[in-house]
Amino acid sequence: MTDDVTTDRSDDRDDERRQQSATALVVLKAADPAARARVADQPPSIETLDALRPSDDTIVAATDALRRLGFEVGPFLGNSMAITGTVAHVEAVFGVRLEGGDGVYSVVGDGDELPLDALDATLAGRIERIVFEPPMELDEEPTWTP
Amino acid sequence: MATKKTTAKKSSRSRAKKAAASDSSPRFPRRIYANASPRSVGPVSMFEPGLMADSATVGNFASDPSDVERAVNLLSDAGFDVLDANEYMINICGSKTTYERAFGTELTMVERTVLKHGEETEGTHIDSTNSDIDGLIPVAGTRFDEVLEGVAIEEPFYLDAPAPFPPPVDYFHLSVPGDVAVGLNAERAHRGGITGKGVDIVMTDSGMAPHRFFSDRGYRVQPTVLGPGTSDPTEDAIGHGTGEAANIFAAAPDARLTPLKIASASGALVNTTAALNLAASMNPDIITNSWSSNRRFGPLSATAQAQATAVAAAVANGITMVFSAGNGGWGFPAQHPDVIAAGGVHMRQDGSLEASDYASGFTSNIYPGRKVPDVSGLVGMQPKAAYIMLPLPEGSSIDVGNSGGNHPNGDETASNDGWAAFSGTSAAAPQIAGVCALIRQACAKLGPAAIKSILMSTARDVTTGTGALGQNATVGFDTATGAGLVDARRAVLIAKLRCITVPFLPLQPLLPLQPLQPTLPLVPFQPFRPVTPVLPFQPITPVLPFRPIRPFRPLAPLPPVLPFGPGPFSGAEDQSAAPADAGTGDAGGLTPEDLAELERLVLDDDDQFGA
Repeated sequence: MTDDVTTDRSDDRDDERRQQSATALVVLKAADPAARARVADQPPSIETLDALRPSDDTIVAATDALRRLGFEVGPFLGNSMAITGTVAHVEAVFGVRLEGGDGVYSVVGDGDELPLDALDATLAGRIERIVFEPPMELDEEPTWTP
Repeated sequence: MATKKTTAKKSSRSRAKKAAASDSSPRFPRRIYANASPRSVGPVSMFEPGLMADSATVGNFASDPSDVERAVNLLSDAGFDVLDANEYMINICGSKTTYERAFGTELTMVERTVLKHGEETEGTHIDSTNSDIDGLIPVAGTRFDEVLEGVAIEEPFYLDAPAPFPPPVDYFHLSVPGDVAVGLNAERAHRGGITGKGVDIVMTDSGMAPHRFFSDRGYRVQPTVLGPGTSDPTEDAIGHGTGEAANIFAAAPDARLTPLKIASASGALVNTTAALNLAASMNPDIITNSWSSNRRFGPLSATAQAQATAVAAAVANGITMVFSAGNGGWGFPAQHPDVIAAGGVHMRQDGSLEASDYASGFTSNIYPGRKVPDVSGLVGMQPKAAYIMLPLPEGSSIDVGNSGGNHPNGDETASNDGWAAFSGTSAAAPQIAGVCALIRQACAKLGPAAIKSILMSTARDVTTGTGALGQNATVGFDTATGAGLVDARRAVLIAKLRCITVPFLPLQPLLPLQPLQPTLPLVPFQPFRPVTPVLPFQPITPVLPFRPIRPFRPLAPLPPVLPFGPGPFSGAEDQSAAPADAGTGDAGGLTPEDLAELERLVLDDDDQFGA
């Protein structure tokens, strides 16, 4: 009896978790791989922006394809855009199990990156990576021991 | 040098989690409070519908002391805690079961319209099923019938909107908007008509809650936009975003602020790149960000690379990005070369300045040659930088966490008064964003690089003190405070000056003049025939024919005139960077006072504070 109750509660919690929304960042491939390679060792700035920028076709096609997969797609800027879906949907599309919650997720056993091999090859070919962003810190409190 | 420690940050998280947990779905409280009315000496019960007690009639509702005593004993026997008793009322508390068993009733929870923080919303009330009067438990037919008229269940009361003015405290601190505006030398810019009007600022932060500080002053706050992974646009459980918004308006009271919430229910700042993308899509003039991750060394992670690319793209689109440098860490994206990195300067009570030992300053190991900060805002000192008294939601985690104690370890305010003293480079970023808004209003054509250049060239140099990472403030630029404390008045004056020059920059190349058509050769005068001399004059020598004039060669186009003055910006860059909906940039025209002051600035680089 106790085991049944515990299992029921655990299932309820898991259902609740799977209905929460998860957001990941989709980084698109640059339009010019050679130019991209030339700035590979430089941290991004305005000076390297052109080399990092995907083609307009890539942006439009990737956005459409991700929408067709059932994700809400956020605005594109630089070389990335966000996709949002329920945890259950992300898990189903990418064939993974997510851990975490409340806006902070990772892939069980696979860190912050979602595998691209579950996607259609054409779409996967346009994407450099899909990652979960780690949380940031407000700059109100000190980083040191006061 | 300060020691790195990450656990300190966790305290804010746990506070936020507690705040979030308190908002769970309504449950019966463990202790329910009520007031039991002993039988009145007058003929009617105080619970009679329509009856209102006043000073003339209240005596009718007094009770015989012996009845009060009997009632107290009965209530105690029934399991209630009697908290207070007088001739009118017995204050009790007990569990739901205690009430239901004693009075033969069933308690329920109902939602009724209430005012919370000045806004109409729903509030949970406890009620009894066997009475038509809200909150009344009848006692007829129970053992209390002889001694009580009824029991009134306490209703929830809510604090009014937090006071628009801060509580008095007995230590030196800065108030908003006044002291911060003076410290940034923004007051004089405001009096000259430059207040940030027409300039849009997006602030990515923990959210923003209603507060009378903002509404009573008529500040332009747009509805909060939810970033990915966040909820409840009217709540700011941490209180940080609400407080930092006050720093923006201290510098730019007429700017239009759109808060973009990036804090999840637990207080974690989530999906920040996605939020920046969303912010940039709103095409504001300025995005201010009082958050960071601590990145001392490269290479950047995949998400940080994407974030850095997004930041670069936003700046390339003409959006000025301000990031806090960190409080003892190596702040990223503050070390991104395209942003304005906000450091900290502490202004003492006598107006003198020193580098804040709470604020970060460093040379980036990721972006070669990049020194942080660029400029500084007003920030307190260790241990807690409890320096600027800021409005925030009452009972939010900062309100609670900073409350009480003795300054500097606490802010000496209540934990639920809607005010707390705090700062850090978190405060510097919105102050600097506000000054950017003033510059933008003064000259809408100035882009991010020009705005940064003006801030740096007009800042007040700070030459004493040591930053959190051990960097000393020296004469000129240093990594303790960057170029120093931003000076809004001077920045606006230079912006006006730049805007006057901008219409001449860049000059369109003059179109080549059309070659003049060659003048047709003059027909040679026919030689006059010799006039037959009347007198014995010599015949006149015939005039030689004119040689035809050669056509002019077309002029080469004139090169455009370069802008004058300091700063790396070019007119062309800034023209293109100005958003389509930017202000007119006419700055209301230069006043004679402006011109006189500009002259003084240029001639002797006068300290505007007269120090």
